[in-house]
Amino acid sequence: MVGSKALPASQLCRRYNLEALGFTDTSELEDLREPLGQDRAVEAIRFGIGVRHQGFNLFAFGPSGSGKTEIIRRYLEPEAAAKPVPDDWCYVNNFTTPDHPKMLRLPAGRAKDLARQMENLTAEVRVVISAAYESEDYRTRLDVIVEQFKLKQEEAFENLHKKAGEKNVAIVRTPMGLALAPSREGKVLNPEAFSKLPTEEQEQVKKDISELEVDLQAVVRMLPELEREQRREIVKLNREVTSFTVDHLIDEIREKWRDCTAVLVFFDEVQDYIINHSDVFRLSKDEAAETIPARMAADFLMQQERVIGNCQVNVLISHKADGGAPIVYEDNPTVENLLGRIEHRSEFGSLVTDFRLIKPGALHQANGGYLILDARRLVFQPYAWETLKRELRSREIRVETLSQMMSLGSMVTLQPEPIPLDIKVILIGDPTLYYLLSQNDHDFNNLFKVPVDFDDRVPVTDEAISLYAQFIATEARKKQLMPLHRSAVEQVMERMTRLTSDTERLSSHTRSLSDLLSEADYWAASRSAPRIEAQDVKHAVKAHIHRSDRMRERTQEQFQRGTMMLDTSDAKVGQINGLSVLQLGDFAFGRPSRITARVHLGRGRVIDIEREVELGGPLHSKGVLILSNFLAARYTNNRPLSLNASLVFEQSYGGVDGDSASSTELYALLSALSNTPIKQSLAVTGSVNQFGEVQAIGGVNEKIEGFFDLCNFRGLTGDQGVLIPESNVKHLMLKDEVVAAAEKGQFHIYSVTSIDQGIEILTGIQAGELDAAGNYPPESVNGRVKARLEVFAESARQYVKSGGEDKMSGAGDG
Amino acid sequence: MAEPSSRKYRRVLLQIDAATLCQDTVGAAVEIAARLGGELHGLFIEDTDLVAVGELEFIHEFRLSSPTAHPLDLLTLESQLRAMARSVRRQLERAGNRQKVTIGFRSVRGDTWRTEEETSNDADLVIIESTGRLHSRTYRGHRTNRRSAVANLCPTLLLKGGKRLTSFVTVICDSVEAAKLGVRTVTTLLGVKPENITLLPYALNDQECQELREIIEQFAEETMKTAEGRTQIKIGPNVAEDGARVMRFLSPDDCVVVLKTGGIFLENPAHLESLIVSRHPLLFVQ
Repeated sequence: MVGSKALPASQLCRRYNLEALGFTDTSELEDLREPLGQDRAVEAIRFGIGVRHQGFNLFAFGPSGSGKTEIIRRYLEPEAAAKPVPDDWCYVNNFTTPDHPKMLRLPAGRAKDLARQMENLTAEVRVVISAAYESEDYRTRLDVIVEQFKLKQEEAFENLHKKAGEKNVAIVRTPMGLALAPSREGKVLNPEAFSKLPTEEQEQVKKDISELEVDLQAVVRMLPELEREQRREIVKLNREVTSFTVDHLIDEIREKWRDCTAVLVFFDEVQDYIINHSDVFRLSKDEAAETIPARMAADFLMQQERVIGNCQVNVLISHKADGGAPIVYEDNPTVENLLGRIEHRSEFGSLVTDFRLIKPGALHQANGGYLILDARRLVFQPYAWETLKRELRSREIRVETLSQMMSLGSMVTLQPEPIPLDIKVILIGDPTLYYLLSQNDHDFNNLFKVPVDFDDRVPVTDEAISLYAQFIATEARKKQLMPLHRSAVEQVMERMTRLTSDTERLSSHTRSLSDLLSEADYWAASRSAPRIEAQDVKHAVKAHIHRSDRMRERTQEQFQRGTMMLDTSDAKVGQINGLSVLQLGDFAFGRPSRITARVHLGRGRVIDIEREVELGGPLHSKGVLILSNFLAARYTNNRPLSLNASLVFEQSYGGVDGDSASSTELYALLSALSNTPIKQSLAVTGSVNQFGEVQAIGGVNEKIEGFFDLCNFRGLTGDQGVLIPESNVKHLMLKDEVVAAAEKGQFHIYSVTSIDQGIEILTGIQAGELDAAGNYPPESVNGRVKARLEVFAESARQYVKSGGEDKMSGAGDG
Repeated sequence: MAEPSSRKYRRVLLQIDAATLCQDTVGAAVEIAARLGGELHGLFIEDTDLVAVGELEFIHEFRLSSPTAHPLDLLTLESQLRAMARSVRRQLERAGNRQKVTIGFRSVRGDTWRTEEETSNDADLVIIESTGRLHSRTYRGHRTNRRSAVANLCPTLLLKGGKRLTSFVTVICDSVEAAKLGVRTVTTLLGVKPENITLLPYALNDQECQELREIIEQFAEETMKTAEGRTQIKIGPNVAEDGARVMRFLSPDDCVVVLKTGGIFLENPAHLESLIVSRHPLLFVQ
């Protein structure tokens, strides 16, 4: 067992050979029709788009850059084109309650016609009304009314005048009204003349005036009523004239809208409104400026603009009659961008609004079709998520501002009539968000019943390889890149396999592929090549890594300069080379670490120093706790585990997490217990379970390459290598340098399935198997460990006997 | 009619008092002054009769805005008159600013007919509001105004309810001189086009009627030289001495009627009375 063989170079990396596909470069390959490896997602999209019941909205999730939006659009567009065009939507004035504008639903493509017709109508109405009021006929009829009422007034006053005259009383016009005064020969008597009259006559005059005042009061009282009556008659005349003028204009366009009852009702309302506001239509802007004082003219023009505007139509949404159902992608899903908004304009320092300032949102635009939203942006926008859910639940669009929703502010605004909502919403996000919403938001599962789960990897099969070549060809053409030579395609596939860290999978991550192709195209172009060759792809990969690996180089430098202590030769007890991965953005690299273990008499605790100082994560702690149970179960039989062991990542000043070092720590512990030195030319990765089986870990390639780089710098000796779990062999996609070194026997990758297998490679000593009597061979590693633990157990027993239990308890706790 | 008028109407006087204040009148007066390129002087007359009324203890005022009996004392009346004078001045200035007319204003106490001579010396044209109708606040004024209109020594325009003047004019020709004077005044003062002028002969003999026709022909020939070409003044039927018939030939019913003071038509007060109570604005020429 000690002579375990390293993995052959062929197992360290998957190479692709596409010769059998029979193409020279990608220009010979056809486009890929279906998305690669997204069968589940495609099936979900087809179902989600097809089912029309409420709540069957889609949530597409998968890794960022996996081409979700593009794939969804590819299936959505033909479906939308085949659907009927949704209706047009308008808002019109509510003539009864203007702050509740009415919605108007029109057949597709006709809203703009209506708006244009109403604009023409109002312009024409102004002309014809103005002409009607200027006509001789109207003026004559108006004069008749005015004269009639003047005559009534005069008649009343003439009677009074006559009566007063008979009694020598004059009616005098004062600045504010009328008065009765004594007169003689048409001239008012002054106080002096009046006092000269006989007393009886004076009294008689006073009496007469007193009596006449009753009549005068009655006449004066009658004046406002006469004026009101006159105004009523004039209004009646105006209505009659306006109605006669306007009716035929509205009737003309009414004919064109016979099929739309709602429009006919609107016409009726407009007709009434124009008749009731004929005064406003009478004057043109120029006439108003001429005939009305400047300040009043401004008010009048504003009122005129408002009244004319009230007869117009705010086209919220208008579709082309042959356009199919809309597909809308809202990039910035704020509440306003979703629901629409009510704008205001400034009038003399005040903010005012009306139905014409209602603007549509994405929900309006996508109504009757599909709305695509970025889920993460949606939930990050204040109230946007809740708003969308509310609209989907109620199936209507209610234009509201945030301040209205939150009951903030008291500015006068509108409450437009809600518009019925028939929409399919497609959210695009990442899996974390999907599962979070699914678990924590009760509405979510009712409203987004169709998960569309995008995968970013495809199993490597002969068919998949062929399709993948087409996938590459399609992407290259889509981005208008040079064609790729077959060897370049092979290189691309290798790189895409490496990205999955699995030799049996190819990454279908569109953005990564696309970026790699673009970069390779750049390098090919820079050497004026007609197509992309393998060297361009390799160059692109190298350059990409180089751009990102400053931190990796800095870390390597620490080891090379001896700042970080790590041996790559000799053998030491209780010391081993572990491997970890550092992830910086989208770049990961391996970093070797020295792990040491010390043991002494104690109460069966393995102390994880990282955890004690809160630098270790829960997974790391879990791995360490497994070790103590492994030791106790394997070596101590019915005795207590009487040791204290401490484990530490030397010179580690950041956090440590994951259980990938648990097997490494166990090797260190076994070395310390058995006093057997471990070869420092080897590094180890892999987790371990309570039975001593070595389990798979992540980032195996980066870890191996991290240790290789250090060894390579110090000089490959042929003894150096890495122990990895057997189950990670299929994940090996090592870089060319490592593979070449392995081929030359300068660097070795060992795969192990158990701790025993690993310790033999690390120490060169047999692990030792349990015999029938339950003992290990004394010189084996296991035998030495067991013996050492038995010594600890006996020492502990003696110590307790001598009354040192309390001390030991204290020591153990410490 | 042959010689062109050299008369310039530069000074326009608007007589107004508590009974005749009317915003439309102010507007119409300013418009006329603007067309003539002259100045407008407002003359607000505090009527002595009105002051006398305020001195009587038992007089009540019935305001149009509140028809209950309000005791009318002198103090109240004085303050009302002053407020009204300020209001007239404001209205004149505002309208004058708009039309770019120079405005003058003064307030006097007394009867209009006592200042006739002074007024005539001070003005080329006098405008008086007078309709005899309550709504235009002339109820008390109509009697005094008709007297001053006839007696004035300069052209006097009697407005009715402050209406804009129509472009149609009828000149009552009780003499050939009245026709000449009337045509000359309306063309220069009101800017009326010849085709809108109608001469209405009143009690003229055949020779005088012939002279009228000659005047019309002469005027038509003169207009041939202008850019607009030949235009002709109309002539109505010769109305006999029955003044009431004159009213039937006045068309349209709000046309301006031009009368010469001192002529035979105005010798009969009934003729003037029927014109005064009509809707026609009246222009008295001397």
